[in-house]
Amino acid sequence: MLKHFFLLVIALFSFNILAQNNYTISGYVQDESSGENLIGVSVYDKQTYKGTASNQYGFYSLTLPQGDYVIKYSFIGYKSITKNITLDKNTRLNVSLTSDAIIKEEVIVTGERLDKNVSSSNMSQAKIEVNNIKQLPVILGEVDIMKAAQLLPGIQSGGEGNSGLYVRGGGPDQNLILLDEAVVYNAAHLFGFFSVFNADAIKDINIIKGGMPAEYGGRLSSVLDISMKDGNNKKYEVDGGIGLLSSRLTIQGPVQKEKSSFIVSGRRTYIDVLSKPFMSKDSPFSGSGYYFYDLTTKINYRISDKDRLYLSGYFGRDVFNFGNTDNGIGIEIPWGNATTSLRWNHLFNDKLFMNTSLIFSDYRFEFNIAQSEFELKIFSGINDWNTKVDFLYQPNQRHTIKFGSNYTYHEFTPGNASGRSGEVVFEPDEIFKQYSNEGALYLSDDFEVSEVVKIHAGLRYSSFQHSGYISFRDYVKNDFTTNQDNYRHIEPRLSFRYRLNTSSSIKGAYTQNYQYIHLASTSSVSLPTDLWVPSSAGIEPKFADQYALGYFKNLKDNMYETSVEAYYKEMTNLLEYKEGVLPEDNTNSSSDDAFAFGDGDSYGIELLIKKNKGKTTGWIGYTLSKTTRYFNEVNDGIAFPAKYDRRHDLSITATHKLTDKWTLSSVFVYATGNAITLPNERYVIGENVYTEFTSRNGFRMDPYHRLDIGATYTPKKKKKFQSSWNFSIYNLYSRKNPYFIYFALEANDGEDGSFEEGTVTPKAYQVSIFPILPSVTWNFNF
Amino acid sequence: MKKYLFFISIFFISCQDEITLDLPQAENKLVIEGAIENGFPPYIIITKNQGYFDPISDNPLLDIIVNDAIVKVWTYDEDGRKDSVMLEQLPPPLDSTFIYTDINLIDNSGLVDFLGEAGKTYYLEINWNNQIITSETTIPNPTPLDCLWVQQSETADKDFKCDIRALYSDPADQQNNILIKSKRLEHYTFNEDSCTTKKKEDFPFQFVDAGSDVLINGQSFETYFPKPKENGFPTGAYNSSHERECDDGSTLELKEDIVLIKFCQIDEPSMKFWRGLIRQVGTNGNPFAEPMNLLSNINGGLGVFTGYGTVYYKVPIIKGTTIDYEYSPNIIDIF
Repeated sequence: MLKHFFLLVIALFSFNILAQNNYTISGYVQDESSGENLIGVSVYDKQTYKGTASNQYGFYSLTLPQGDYVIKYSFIGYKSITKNITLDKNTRLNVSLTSDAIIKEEVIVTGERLDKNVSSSNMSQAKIEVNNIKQLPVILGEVDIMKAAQLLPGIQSGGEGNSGLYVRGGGPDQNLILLDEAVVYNAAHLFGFFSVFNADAIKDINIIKGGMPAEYGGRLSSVLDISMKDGNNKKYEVDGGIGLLSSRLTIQGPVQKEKSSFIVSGRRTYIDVLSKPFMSKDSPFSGSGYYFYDLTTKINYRISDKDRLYLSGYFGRDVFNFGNTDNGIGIEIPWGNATTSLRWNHLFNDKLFMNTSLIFSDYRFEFNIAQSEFELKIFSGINDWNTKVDFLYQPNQRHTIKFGSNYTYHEFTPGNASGRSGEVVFEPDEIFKQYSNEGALYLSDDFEVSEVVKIHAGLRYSSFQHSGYISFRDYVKNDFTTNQDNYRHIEPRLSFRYRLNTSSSIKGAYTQNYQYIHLASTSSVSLPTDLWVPSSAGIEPKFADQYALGYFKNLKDNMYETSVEAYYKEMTNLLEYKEGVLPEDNTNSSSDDAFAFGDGDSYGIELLIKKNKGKTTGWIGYTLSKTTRYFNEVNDGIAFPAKYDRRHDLSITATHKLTDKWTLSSVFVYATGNAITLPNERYVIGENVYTEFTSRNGFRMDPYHRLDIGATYTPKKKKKFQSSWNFSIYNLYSRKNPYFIYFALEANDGEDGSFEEGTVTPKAYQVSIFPILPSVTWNFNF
Repeated sequence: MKKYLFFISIFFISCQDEITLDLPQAENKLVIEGAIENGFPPYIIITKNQGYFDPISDNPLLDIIVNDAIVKVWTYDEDGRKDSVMLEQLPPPLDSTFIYTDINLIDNSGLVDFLGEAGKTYYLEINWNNQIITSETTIPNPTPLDCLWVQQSETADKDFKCDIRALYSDPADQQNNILIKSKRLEHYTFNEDSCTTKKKEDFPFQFVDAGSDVLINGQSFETYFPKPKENGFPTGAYNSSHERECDDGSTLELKEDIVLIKFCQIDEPSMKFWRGLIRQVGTNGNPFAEPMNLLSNINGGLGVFTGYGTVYYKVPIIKGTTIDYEYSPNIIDIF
């Protein structure tokens, strides 16, 4: 396999040799005022429309035959610029773009090349502009990039207020969530109500829900590639906000002007602090509370024009305390992620860009319960040591070649418990852990075959080695002789664009993906108690193949982008807990025999109409889809709808710039009700009544719909101080959307009743959690 | 349920509405609550399931009781010979318990020859209305507690509230599953209006807890047996003798509770069922949990057939009492 891989690399490199008298123009594109690298800026020759886009680090490289060119740099939200260039040698050109907001132009300068929707070979991808989503109305004033992503077609939410992503019928564990390349294992705060990403520290979000390029892997359904801001390298800047739920503060500035900068951004909720005065000291729950916080930091250093270093880190924790003085029970549940990425960008020459990363990622969950002298602690987690090298090679304007390698050492702590009763401590002899090695090599080429046809072809060779309870150190000690479970697979990734005319194209994609680590979940939403488990002899990797076909058309000089995409996805070796199995069955041991395996499929049509320019911008997204699961050991082997199977999913967002000071916005969503499992039988054991369900996800809740409106008021800047007020009304018409349903035997006379005496009646209740909720947030910047 | 509503209302304004649901018709299934323990004949209660929203009549037990099934239990001796017994409903006045057992107990003044033995596997077959359901269970070896004692509860707000505490040494050589039940043989309630006390008795045994010894295997440690609470986390305390004041200023003495503790070893399938009881109560109305069925060991029905390796302790709730001897219950005590 390896031999073939390198042959392919050599074959692709040979394009370079064939090209004659070509010169390369390359450099970084950055924001004029802050020096932030800009990602995805179109760089192209105005006459021939030959061009490229800046990469994740703001670097671009464009190779053209010798000659005179007018090179245009354009980017949404920025003023486009053109440069006249006589290309008779390789040229380095760093460019700065000025933000549209600063030049106060009402209409974004037309960038003729803003037709990426039609011209690129990518499909099923979307980019979220953080500045745009900050204008949208939000719940309790918390800007949330995950919730903004849910407004895109093909991406669904898990339910009211849930920030989990369900992409094209895939579960929340099938999303590769990367924060500056570090995997974030649990992207949710507050049991899923908010995501862990503080929008103030985020520069750019790229979402891939299909046609996943070969540089990404290890997950079946999607990639959420989030880039943190680098920090202003020209001047100090302070941003902050005070909201109902939390406050934020971001400080950034140069360490060494134009050479090195930093950013520190923090956020903390204060429900616990605010609620304390209202909770009487005598209340049995006086010890209860909840808070979360997160801290994002990044520092970068430009060693030279060819070398840049980035060090970024994220640390977040949720802490839930529950105290009941009635029975002396105290519970503390802390959980959270920590990531660190050290990256080095190096330019070998104008055409070859390299990034090397060293990444650490950690997720842990703890549950501590104490009652008088009894204590129980349950903990689980995963941490990764990851190193990767990525190359970007642009030999000429027709090829963009990416290749690289990725290695991860996983350490799983699937579920350990320890306890204490008085003086006696219960502890496993050693903490139960599992270790795995995950590796990948990839190669891809984005190849413009002709004006009409563009092909993106990629191969990813992935391997996974599960060494069970043997850590790497023991493995070396044992002379590399330990038995291991190995998996090796080749994942082809292919997509094409066929251009019908200047404003429309047809695109198709086929991808295969393997996923070697699995999230075992006992709950209906993504919860911190969910366990990550590795593939092993007993657990085969998940596999998906996906077909997608779409029609893309831009209207009115790219003012409107539209697309229709159809997809079909098949998944095998999906994993669920067997019925009746509890996670604690595997306390301090492997959980391989706790799972049932099955297949799934999902198909659907996604429609997107997006308006990018003008006073009113926004989009309409609609998805019609069906997602089914097939498990022999679940639901008596009968196919059942996935939890997040949703026939209809509609989102409409609009932002309107009313005056220089006022911007209005609104969001409307409609979705088919969640598929849920309800018990339909009751029976008696002892004196108590128990229930039995007979059909998994066999019941539908009422449809979900909601309208939010928002307004942002930005008064005139006073000296250097700029502030803005964001007003939101969530659920304007106070729709009682179902959050969950529960059953109860209710006493007939309102007091005590019992089944035995026939003094109770069975009832069902639907709980809704967010009625109309106004909120206000004050943001500032100086 | 309430605890989850509390949890959600910490953060959000929630509201709930009663709804009517159109659920699929319930399948007719038999529900078994069967047992065999060392030294006693098997005993079984059979009921029927119902649709969740079926109306509840004035005497709901009569709607679900099945008292005309053919019930057979058998085992094999060391030589592989089958030894079986037919179980029948207890005659009056015990018929209101709806228990099937070996009625030689009554007819033959308590002399029965089919008694549970530790280490043996027992098979159950029930035939009713042409439905045949089966099950099997094994009685593990009982493990006695080192001792039990009574001391004032640390968490309760009244001086006379007491906990039963115990010292237990888990055998290291076996993977075992523990189940605890308890009932008050005597309990006194106070009626303020008439200034009288009334003696009550719990029936049947109430379930306290079940689980495996994975965390405690081979350890010797102190634990406590809370008073079972209906449909919830067992956290209550027992009453020692105390005085209550009547309206006329006179005081009345209430005697202490007398508690029977049933400390059992059970097999794994049974443990998974019993442990699910607590779990299901915990997941009903939990917005984050998937509903969970109890893991039955009955083929073709619901419920459980459990072999109990039991030891009994009779504990009068008197502060400072220590008990290090087993209690020999009579047949009525064990239900």
